[in-house]
Amino acid sequence: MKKFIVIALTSLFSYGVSAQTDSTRKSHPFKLDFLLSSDFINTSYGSHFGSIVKAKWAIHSGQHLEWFMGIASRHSYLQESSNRFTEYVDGFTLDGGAYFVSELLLYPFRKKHFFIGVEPYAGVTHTFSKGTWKTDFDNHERTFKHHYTYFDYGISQSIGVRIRQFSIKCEAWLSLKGVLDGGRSRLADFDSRFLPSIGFGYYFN
Amino acid sequence: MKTGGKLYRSFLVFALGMATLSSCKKEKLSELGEIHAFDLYSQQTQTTYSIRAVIPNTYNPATPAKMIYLLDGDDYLREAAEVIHKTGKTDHIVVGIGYKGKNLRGRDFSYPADPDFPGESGGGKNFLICLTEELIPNVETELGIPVKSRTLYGHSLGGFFSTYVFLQQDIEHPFTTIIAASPNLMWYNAYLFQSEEAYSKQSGALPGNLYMTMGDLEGASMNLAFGAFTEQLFLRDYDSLHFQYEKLENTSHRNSPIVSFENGLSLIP
Repeated sequence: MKKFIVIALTSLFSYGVSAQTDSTRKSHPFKLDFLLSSDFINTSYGSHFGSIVKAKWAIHSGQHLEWFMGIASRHSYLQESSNRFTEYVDGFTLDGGAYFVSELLLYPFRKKHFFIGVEPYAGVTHTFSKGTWKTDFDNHERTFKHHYTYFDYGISQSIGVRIRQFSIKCEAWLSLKGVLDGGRSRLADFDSRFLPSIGFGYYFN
Repeated sequence: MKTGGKLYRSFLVFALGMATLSSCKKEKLSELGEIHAFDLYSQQTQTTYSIRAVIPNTYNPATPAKMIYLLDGDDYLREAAEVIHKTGKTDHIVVGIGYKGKNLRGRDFSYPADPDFPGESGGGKNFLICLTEELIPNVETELGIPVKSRTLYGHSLGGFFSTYVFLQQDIEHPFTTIIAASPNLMWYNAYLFQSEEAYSKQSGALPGNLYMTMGDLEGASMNLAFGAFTEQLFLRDYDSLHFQYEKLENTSHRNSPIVSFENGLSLIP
């Protein structure tokens, strides 16, 4: 399976490089990004995975710069029953939201395959935690449920390669929630996710 | 191309702006008080600790001081000293306990050892001996001031350790007040629940002040353990125990330390 993925990616990349020899890239008015993410910092709470989907429209497409505006949706799930410390918890935390995004992609080299990007976002995130606590030394079962909806903003930074209508990229999603109003000094938390992610994009004509 | 150049400049300006976003003005530690900093090698834990004590500029040396020993001092000392400065507590001295080299909080703040925990763990008892027999005597000799009371503050696993210190019966400790911010009460399959249960069978009194907090945005597991433990302790109704606990609204794990520190100051006698 690993070999297949490596061969497939290598073939795709080679095809893209050989096919795109001129410096004029065809402009595409619309693109979709799909990424898989995970919160590696808070792993002691349990296993975490999520996804990010973005739909963006091109505002500018130049020699070295592309600018997109669009919308994004992010969802993640933390399986707290698999937390590192106790077996007495059965619970989870879900969070997700909808955002406006504006992405700037910089192609620093003459052949426009490699890119770096920066993408500020703003929108609304909803967090929902739910669980039960039951021990073998106390029969009393306790429950917990909590909802929280908030204005969320931050930035994604990406690095990747463009191969014709496809792009493959690594991205770091960082919520800066609270930073601008002096509400916090420490990020990468349940309400300000830092999410390394990997995924691909597709450019539509 | 001209438009591209403008966009390129905008891109650079924006990137620089984002890079400096969190570099807002913060007070220097030396502006908050007189700093006593020194390293202390512990025979007990075979570790060198970085100790920094902040004495308010307005402190009167004739007044017995309220010592606050702050775990994770490398992370929280400046903010804790800012709180003391802001609230005008002139007789409160914060002592940050950090590490000279590698941070060993996982080892020092946990007990018993958990084989599933990545890295060393279970050194809590050793660290408590280090605190009581080496660190605190050295700090107070170094400062050379009379002491009125001692408080232990810890966050997360440090909060677990602080609560463990309060409930354990093996080693006599000098703390009259414990501030446990977002304690990880799940450690070793909720070890402290059974530790408290064992204590309750031996004594109906638990002298001291205990303040515990949990942010409502710390997920289900932390909140469930906190709810269960505080209920267990509250229902026990120990003599001589001044117990307060608080659910912090719209607060996540990394944002509970300083709120809890500030709120917990009111319990210090």
